[in-house]
Formats: sequence, C-alpha cells, structure tokens
Amino acid sequence: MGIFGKRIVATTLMVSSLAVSAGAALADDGKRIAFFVSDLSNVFHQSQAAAAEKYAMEKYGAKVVVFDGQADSAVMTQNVDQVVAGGFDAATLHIWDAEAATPGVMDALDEGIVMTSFFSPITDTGIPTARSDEASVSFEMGAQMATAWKEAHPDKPIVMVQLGWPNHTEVNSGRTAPFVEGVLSVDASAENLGALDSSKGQEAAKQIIVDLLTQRPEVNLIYSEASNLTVGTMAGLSQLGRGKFENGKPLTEIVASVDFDAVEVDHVFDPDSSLKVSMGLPPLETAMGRIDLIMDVLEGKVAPQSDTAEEFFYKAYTISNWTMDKADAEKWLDSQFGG
Amino acid sequence: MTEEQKISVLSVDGLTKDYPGVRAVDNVTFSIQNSVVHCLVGENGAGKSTLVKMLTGALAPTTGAMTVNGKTYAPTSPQEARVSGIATLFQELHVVNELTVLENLTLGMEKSRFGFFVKSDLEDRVTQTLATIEPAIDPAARVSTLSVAQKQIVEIARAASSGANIIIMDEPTAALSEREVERLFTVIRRLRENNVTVIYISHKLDEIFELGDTVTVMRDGKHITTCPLSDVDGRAELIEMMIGRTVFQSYSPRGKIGDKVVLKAEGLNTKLLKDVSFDIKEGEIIGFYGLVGAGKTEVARALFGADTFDGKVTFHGKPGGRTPKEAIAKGIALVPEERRTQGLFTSLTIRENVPVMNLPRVTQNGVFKAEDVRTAAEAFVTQLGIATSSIEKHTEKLSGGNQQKVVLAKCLFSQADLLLLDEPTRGVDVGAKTEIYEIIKDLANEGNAVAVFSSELEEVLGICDRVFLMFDGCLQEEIENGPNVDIAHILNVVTGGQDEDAR
Amino acid sequence: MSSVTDTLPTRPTRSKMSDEGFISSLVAAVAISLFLIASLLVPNFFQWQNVVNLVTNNWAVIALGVGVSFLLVSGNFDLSVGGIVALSGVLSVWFAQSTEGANALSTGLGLPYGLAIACALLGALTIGALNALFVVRFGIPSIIVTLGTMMVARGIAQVITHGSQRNTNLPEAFGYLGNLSLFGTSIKFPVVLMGVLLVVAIFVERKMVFGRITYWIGANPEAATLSGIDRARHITKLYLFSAGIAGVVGILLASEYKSGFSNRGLLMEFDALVIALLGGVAIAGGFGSVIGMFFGAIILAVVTSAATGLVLSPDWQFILKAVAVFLAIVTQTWALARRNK
Repeated sequence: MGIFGKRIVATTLMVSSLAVSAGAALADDGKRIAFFVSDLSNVFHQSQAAAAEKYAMEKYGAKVVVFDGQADSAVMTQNVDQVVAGGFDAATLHIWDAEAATPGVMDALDEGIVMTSFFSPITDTGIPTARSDEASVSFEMGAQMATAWKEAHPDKPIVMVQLGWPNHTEVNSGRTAPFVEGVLSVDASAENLGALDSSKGQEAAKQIIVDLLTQRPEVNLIYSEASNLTVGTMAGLSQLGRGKFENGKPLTEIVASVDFDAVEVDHVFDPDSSLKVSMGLPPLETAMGRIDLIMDVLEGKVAPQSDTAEEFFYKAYTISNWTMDKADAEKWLDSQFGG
Repeated sequence: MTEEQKISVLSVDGLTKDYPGVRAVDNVTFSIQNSVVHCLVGENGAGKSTLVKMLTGALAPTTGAMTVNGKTYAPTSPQEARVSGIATLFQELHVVNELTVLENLTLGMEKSRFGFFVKSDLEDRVTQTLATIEPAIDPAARVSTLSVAQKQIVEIARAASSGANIIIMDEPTAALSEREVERLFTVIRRLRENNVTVIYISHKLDEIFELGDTVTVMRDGKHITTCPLSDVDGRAELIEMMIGRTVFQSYSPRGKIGDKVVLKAEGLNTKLLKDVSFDIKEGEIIGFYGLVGAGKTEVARALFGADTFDGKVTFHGKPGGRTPKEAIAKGIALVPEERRTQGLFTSLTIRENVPVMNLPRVTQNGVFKAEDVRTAAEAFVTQLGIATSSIEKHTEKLSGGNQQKVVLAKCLFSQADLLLLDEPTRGVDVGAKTEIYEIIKDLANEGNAVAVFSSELEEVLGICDRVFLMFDGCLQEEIENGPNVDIAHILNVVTGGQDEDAR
Repeated sequence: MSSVTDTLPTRPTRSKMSDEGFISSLVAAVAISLFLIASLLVPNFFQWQNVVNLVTNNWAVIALGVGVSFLLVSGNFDLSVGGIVALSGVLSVWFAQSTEGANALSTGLGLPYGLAIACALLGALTIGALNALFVVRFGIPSIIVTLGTMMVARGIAQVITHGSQRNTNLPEAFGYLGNLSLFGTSIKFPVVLMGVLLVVAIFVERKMVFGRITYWIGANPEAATLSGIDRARHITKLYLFSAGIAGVVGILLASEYKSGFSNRGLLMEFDALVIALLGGVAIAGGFGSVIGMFFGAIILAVVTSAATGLVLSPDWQFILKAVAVFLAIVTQTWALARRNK
C-alpha cells in the first residue's frame, strides 16, 4: 500500500471496509453519499462516521463513504473535488475554509450532486446546513461554571480564557461567544482574556496553559474547545500543580471541554479534578440528522438551495458534574459511542 | 622574426611579474604573428601560467607593456581581454549542459560590443562559425549529450564567433582520447585558416611539433627564444632550450639506505595505471616524476588504499591497506596532492588538526587527554618550525608552507614508517621548501621510507635516492640519482619520447 | 607572502575564545536580552517559573535538536525526526494496546509495556538505518533522503492509526514515564532526561573522539577520509543516534498524553532545524555547538511565551517569531564577520 498519500490511505481504508459490509445491500437504488468529517483523529467523528454508515444503510439502503479532512483546510477542499470525480449522488460536507471550497461545491451542484453542509454554511451557495445546537450548551456551561466559582470564591473575580480556533466563525458563534455570555450572565464583572490559538493540538494547548497561567495565575475559568485540547490543558495544569478540586470545591480553576467522551468521563466525575463540564455532542443524533437532511433534499422535502442557507439544529447535551451523575453520563456515552 | 611582413597580432614588451621574493616572469619580450599556431613551452614553474594570466587579465604585470591587434592592451579582467579579442579555453569547461549548442553559442552575446546584431543574424553567424570549424556538431543538439571533446569545440566556436582572433588553449588535450586529439587539431588548423591565432600550451612535445608554427620557450621566468618550429632541430634541441644548463646541485647520497624492502607493489592497474611495479626500501627516499596526468597521484592513492585497484601491495610482508584507515593502521601516511581540500581541516585550529590520524595516542576510552593534544601540537610547531602565534590559530590563516607543515605534522603524528608525499612543496615559498626537504631527509635518516610524487624535476633530483619516471600511467624507467643524471633524457622520457635517438 | 607576517614576533597571546564559544555566548546573550525585553512588555513575565517553563515546554524539540545538530555539524540534514516521533509513539501504543478491543483502533498487539517500547524504539532506529543506508551507501543528498523517510515514518503511523489516533485499552503502566515527576517537584522525567542528554552531548562534542570526528567530517569530508576516518560508519552512527532520540521522544510524548497520534510532532523537524541554525550551527557543516542550539530554542520559546502571555492572535504570533528568527540570524552573521575581519 502506498504510504505517501495519507488522505488516500485513510479514505481507502474506510472505503474497503465499507465495501465488505455494504457490498451486498448496494443493490437497487442505493444512493452513494459522501460523508465529510473534519478530523478522523477525533473520537466524536469516528463514532459519527460509523453511525452514519450504519444508519444510512439500514434506513435508506444508501452507501456512505467517509472523507477525512485531517484537520487541514486544504485536504477538505480537495475532498470536494473527489466527490465530483467519484460519482457520488450526494455529499454532506464538513469544511473549514468555505471560501476555498465554494468553486468545488458549485461544480458539484452543477453536476447534479446534492450538497448539504455540517456545522458551517458554505458561503452564499445556500445549501442547507445541519448544526448541533452548541450555543445553548456553551452558554449553560459558562453559567454553571461562573455560579460554581462564585459560590466557592466569592472574593476572587472571574478571569476566563478559551483555547481553540480564534479565527473560526462557527467555533466562535457556537462555543467561544455564548460561553462568554453565559459567564457574564452570572457575573457581569468577569474579565475575558479572549481565545488563544491551539489549532496545533494538545502539545500547543499544554504550552499555552503553562505559559499563560504562569504569567496570569488569576485565570480561573478555562474553556478548552475540543476534547483533544483538553488532554493538553489538563497536562499543563498538572505541571503547574493546578487542575484540582477538593471535596467538590474548585481550588484554582474550573475547566470545560467539548466532545465529551470515554476518556473525559473519569475526569468530569472525579471529585478531585477541575474538569467539571463538557459539551456532549451526540454522534448518533448528528449522524442521523445529517443523513436525514441529505435524504430529505434528495427526496425533495427540503430545497437544495435557498437565498440564505437554511439551518437545521440538532440537540447537544450539557454533561455536567453539577446536573448529572456518573451513571447517567456513562449511559449516555454508551448509547452514543458504544455498540 | 623571419617574416617581418606578417602582421603582429600580439606583442609583449619587457613584461615582468614579481611576487614577494620571486620574479615569476622576468622581462619577457616577444611577438606573435597573425594566423599561426604559436606554442608556449617550458618546464613547470618556468613562468608560462603567470604569463598567460597576465594575457587574460587575471593578473596585472608589475612592469612592461602588451599590444593586441595594434592597440595598447592592459586588461583588468577576462571580460576585458575578450573584448580586446583574446579568449581563453579553460581546463574546466564553461558550457551550460541544459541548453542546446546554438543557445550556448549565443549565450550572453546579445551584449556584443557591436550592439546592432539582431538575433537571427547572430544565430546565422554562429552557426556558420561552428560549421566552419566542426560541421559534425548539430547546433540543435543539447550540450549534455556531447562528449567532453565536443563541448570543448563548442567553447572554441563560441570564442571564435564572439570576435576573438586570439585563442589561448592551456593543455587542451589533457582529457582527450587520441582520436579526439586529432579532431581538435583539425579544428585548430581550420581556425588558423580563418585568421585566428592560437596560443597553444602543452607539455606533450610531439603535439607541438605536429601542430605548431612558431614557439616561445621560457625558462625560470625568462624568455629564451621565439622562433619558427621549423628552425628547431627536433625534441632534443627543444628540451635543451627548456632546461638550459641548470645544475641540480643539492643531491648528495646519504648512504644510509637499508636493504630491507618495506613496500612492494606488483602489477598495479587502475583506469590510468598500467602494470606498475616497484619496491621501496627502509630509509630510502624514492621519487615519482612525471607530468600532470602521468599517474603519480594514482600510485600514491593506490598505496594508501584511497582508490581501488587491481594488483598486489605488500607492506612489511603483509598485504597493504585497502582503505586509508587500514593503511594508516599498518603504518602508511599520505600527504595528499591538494592540501586545502584533501589534507587540512582549514576551519579548525592547528591543535585540532594534528591528532586526527592517530587518535589512540591522545585519548583514553574515547575521551581526549587535552594536555597530551596540546603538548603534541606544541611539539610539532617547534620541531617543524611552523610559524604561528599559537596552536589555537585556524589553519586557513597560515601561509601555504605552514599549512603544508601542519599536514606533515598530521602524518608524522600517525607514526607511520612509510610516508607518501604528493606534491609536498606545491605552492610553498622557497624558505619553507628547503625546510620541508630537510624534514624529509631527517625522516629517511631515521629509517623511515619516503616516497615523493612530484612534477618538479628539481625537487625529485634534489632529495630522492631513486627516481621512477612516469608517462601515461606507466613506470617508464627507474634511475639512480647521482651527479651524472641525464636531465635531457629524463625530460624526453616523461614527455613521451620513445626512441633514444631523439637525444 | 603571509609567511612574512607569520614569522613576525608574536603578539602576546590573550586567551581567545573559539568561534563556537563566541557564537554560543552571543546566542545566549540574545536569548537573555529577549527575555528581559519581554519582561518589560509582558506583565508577570519576569519570574523563575517562567524561565523553567521555557525549558520544560520545549524538552522534546531541544532533545531532537541534539541529534539534528550533530548531523548538521557533520554536513548532513535530518528532517525525519518529526515523523519518527509520530511513528515511535504510535508503535508504542499499538504494541501495548490489549488484544481485545471493541474496534480496530482500540485493538493492539498486547505486548508488555517494556517490550512494547523496546520494539517501538527499534522501529525508530529502522528509520535511522534507512537514512544512513541511502545517504552513506547510495550517496543521495541527505535532505532528499530524510524528507522521504519523514513521509515514510509518518505514513506508517497514519496507516496504523487509520489516519487518526489510538488512545484506548492501554495498560496502567503506559502513562507512567511521560508523567513521572522527579525530586518532588513539577519537573517531569522527560525534561530531566533531556537535561542529561544535553550534558552528555556537550561532553561528547567537546571532549570525546566521537564528537571531534563529527567536526572533522563536516569541516572537510575528503580530508577526513584521507586521515583514516571511516566516514560511512560515523554518519551511520549519527543517524541512529538522532533516530534513537526521536524514538524516545515519541515514546515519552505518547506516554504523557496516553495516545498514539499520527500527527504528533508535525513540523517538529523544522523547529529542530531552526533552533540549531538559530544557535549558530553552520548549515554547511563543520561548525556549531549543542549549547548554541539550546539557546536557539530558548529564543523561540521566549517569543512564544510572551505572545501567549499577551494573548496575541495567531497571525501576530507568527510575525513576531519570524522577526525574532531573522534578527537573531542577522546579528550572528554580522558579529562573526566583524570578529573575523
């Protein structure tokens, strides 16, 4: 197997595994759907992809092929061209650089391929967009954390920071901004340092936490906007001797994460860890929602294009130490990621 | 000057070039006529290359004047020389492999001093020039597909079509096969027919007699004669003029040579060497003398294991080393031909250069004994008289002679009992030369064997007990050094002279 | 010519620092100045913990820089180290993951941890051996060879992780080494290991035959061979050394984050190259020092840390880094030229 084209390798693997499981059912009018994910290294996307394959086959007899964007805008854009070349009936996109992908999307639409987007609309193409309702969860997490902090340390002013993708519109509108609003809704005097670029991954997140908290030890609410960043965030905190709760009370800070997963469950419900809340993005419902939306378009129930992109929201969950117990969280995980 | 009616295209008058302590070219006056092949001969160090460098603008004369095509000529760069009509065919070729022959010929010539050439005229002109001197080369061919000889001809054509009427060729046949040499000669003759004067420099006297019209002989920087070759009575007279009545005074038999054979070489063959066999005895200094390209360096490198070869080398009764590392371990050390690129670590200090060939001597468990390294370096600085302010001096800042002494120090530090010295005094000033000879003799007197590979006859006859004459990869002859050595005979042998009657 | 000046009575010799010592001091001075400037501009920057962070945040790239610097001094590039970091990390995870996982990515070979990391290290050394083979045996320029093996190493890591990561079904021991704190402080084992490596490397470079041979080869490869140095053998050792370091770094990072991530160490080979060049290692070989490389890393770390403290946007961080690198290199070139005039 060629080992130089990493994208091809990943895609080929997915395709070949699918070919085995879905080959037989691909009889009659089975549609071929390209299912984009931004980064298959993320457990959420892994589960989402697996669920989509299964759900599409069971409900619609459609074959899903997963396209891994590898957390790289260029790869995602190239993948759009692959859709046209690969003779797909439809594609549900997950693209970071919508501008760059627009010409490819327009070409695909011209070819009669049905396009929908996930997470962010694609510029002014007007294709329908499926989104998790992240904003309300982010807001709720911010509010819960601010409340908990004020309860424990009424005399220490809130100073918050976010780690993620400062230049990314949807991350901002779904995570960064509503989180800040949530905190401010509890304590209007809270100080916000802003969002720091952690797009390089967990090592970058760790470096930022170590450097920032050495120079700004007063930071006490941290929103780590992806679960793999949270690994780095917690490692950084631990290096500084922070990251701890005592008897359910915060000592130095409270951390929120996104993409609640099997690794995070132990932290969130650990009475001694400062990671206390995480956004539960349901891969199952997201996958179903994305597949349903694209099938709706294929079947004419939703317009393929409109002046401003129609947005379809799916539920996201707030998995919180304060509002949920561990058993429930594990049950949730099991239903979403297990099986 | 027999044909005064012919126009002189180049004349030099009282040309002199001084280096500190050396007069390389001494009051040289001669002139060259139009449309001849004019040969320039002389021994190594006779001043030919310095003269050529002044002609091409690479060096400025200390005093004297030059006239080219009737105008006073004082070039400050090869470009200026070219504009005045003198082009040089360098040993290393300046063609662009990726371009076609035609593109190479026109390259940079849009800026011709005539200025009004439109491109198509230019192309026609150079194509014609090429066709005149060598019709077999296709102007559309890519230069990378040509042989070395053909590339050389492309350069000649380029020089000719750029308006040069004097082309200097320095040993142009060094890298050519016999057939290619013939073709080159044809080209040179066509150039002559087309009013181009060729200044031809070669050690190969046969070529000179075959090709030349006139000859200038130089010796020790002085002009000996300029005359038509038809006036020269064969090789013997030419050699006589080249060497004069120089007496190589310095050799005195040391009488300490042992009988024990240290190294025996049997049937060495490489690409260049043909069946070379000899032996070296304890306490002996032997010399390998020949012109550039005769195979001296190849012998040295084979003995040192630096090149692969067929044949057998026995050193102290055991097989010799097949790599430099093995050779050094067995007790052979080489002072290579190119001191700066092969012998020295110029960016490092004297102290860092000295120990490299015998690390176990100054280390313990892989760690340097700093004091021992320093002591060794200091000792060599004193023993060899290396002129330096400190052992911490970077060797690139030393003079040639002192650099060479550092290379010698490296070899001596290895405690070898056979030293191979390839051109040990090239580019070394006279004072250091004498000192290096003394070091070599001392080494031999201590019972070491030394082999000197040199293209300077004076050097070889000055210190060696036995001399092997080399020509074209073969050991032609072995001679015992002594007061009655026949220098004319030696020169005849190393320039490819076969029959004894030529004397 | 110059023999005349050489024989002049020598000036009283003052003990003159070597060029390497000079450059290392210069780089250190630049690093310290930058730290002081940042202390003026960034609140709370001037504190001991921040100095510690500069080192602890960069242990991985400094460790890689050691192998890369030695190779650069010998006149060779090693761009494969980032790929090897990913590969050895992924291998260590894959070998250690238990055999009964729910899916392909959570199923490994179930080797005991010690054996798993030994095998992962072997994988890293294999890449180093490949580098040596192609550079030494086939004479292909090292920049091309190691660019190729960089992709091979990362490619294998991506195949094993299906282009993503493996982070489940790991034995308890897996996270131990990467998170082990020593001396009752927050200083982690990998950082201490890097410190030891640095000290050993400086000793080897200054005092040992192995180090000096590296310089001889870099200063003049042909003269080195003719002086009896087995160049092929030494360069092979250097590539194995560098790959070994990268392998250990990969294993420790995998242990720290308890995951084998195919994109880990992305662009680290270039960071390692940049800090070596910043530290005064000559790209043409024959010159440079590990100490200089270390302070080169500190220069970059100061800039990154200050940018983080100021919560600068990614674009400005990038520009700031570029300016610092540029200034450091210009200062160096200028100072060396002046000194040798």
